[in-house]
Amino acid sequence: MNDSDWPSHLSSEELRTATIAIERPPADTLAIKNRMERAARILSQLDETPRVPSLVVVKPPLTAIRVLPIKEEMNVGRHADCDVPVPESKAMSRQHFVLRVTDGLLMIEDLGSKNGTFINDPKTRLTQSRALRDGDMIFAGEIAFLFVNACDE
Amino acid sequence: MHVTTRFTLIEALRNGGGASAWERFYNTYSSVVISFARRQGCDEHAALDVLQETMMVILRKLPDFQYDRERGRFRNWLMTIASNKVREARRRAKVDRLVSLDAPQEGTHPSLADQLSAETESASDNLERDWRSTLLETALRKILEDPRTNSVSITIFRQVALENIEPSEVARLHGMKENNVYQIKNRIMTRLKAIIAELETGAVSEDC
Repeated sequence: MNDSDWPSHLSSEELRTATIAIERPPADTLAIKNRMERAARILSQLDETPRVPSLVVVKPPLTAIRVLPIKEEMNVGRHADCDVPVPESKAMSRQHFVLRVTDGLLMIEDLGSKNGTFINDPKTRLTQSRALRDGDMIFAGEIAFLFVNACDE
Repeated sequence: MHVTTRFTLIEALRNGGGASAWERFYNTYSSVVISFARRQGCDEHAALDVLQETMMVILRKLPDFQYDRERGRFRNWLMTIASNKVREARRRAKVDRLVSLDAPQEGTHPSLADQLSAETESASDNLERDWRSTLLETALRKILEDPRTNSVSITIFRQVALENIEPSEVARLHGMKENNVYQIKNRIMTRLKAIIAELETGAVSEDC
């Protein structure tokens, strides 16, 4: 394909394909937009943007407390023995959730916590292991965690 | 009197243009990324994931982005990020599917994970084709949704450029001269190309 020619000549076929595509209703991207604004506000509080995959511990509503690099496996909870102890919390369980790197993806699993683990939506409780997306917000008790999947891009 | 000022969204964002610059950037490029992800085979959920992850990279990397007005740089950068995130969405779909093997299947169309075993790596030409189609779709949508666009002009454009009706016949249908039909078609084509150029460079026209 020759970049310098396009879009000087737009064929009827290209136009027809584009017209068909726009008949499809646009996706609702408002939730993503809100997540990005939240992430921007959290990241703006840091001295520097994380350069490795990290978890930003956030005290609601949006106060960044500290940044933790992601390890192969890390359990998170109130207890001091956790890989990520969160002594600031009163509502998290002692062992609340675990993060595991599996096939290059960061998986999160609730460890039977009393108050539950929620991803992005404080109303939808995590019931099975799932892969985290860059920018996902984990809610556990009264503490939140922003996943920042920083790496070479 | 309207005075049109061109500025680049990218420059505004890099210079700390604040919430309004970010909002305009997101409103402009979210549909581009979603559309591209769909063309690459993502369903609605995966396309939203691609959007989220692409925007997160931009949030982090934009301050360091070596921006110049050369047409190719921004678009190649954005396309590379989005296509990487599509690949990650495919991997995630596979893992999520393994986790929920007992869950009931949702929807009737094949999921991204279903395509994995038969999938081959997209050639760079496919990426480029999908990217161009995405930009064209976005530009067309902008024109159609613009309240300033005359509906008769859109009808004429559709008839001539899309349905391949002879300009003379279109002129007859609308009671105008054939030359007017060509002018309308060319005007919309010019707008389409201008919008595509803006999308590729991150430049945005704004009335002030």
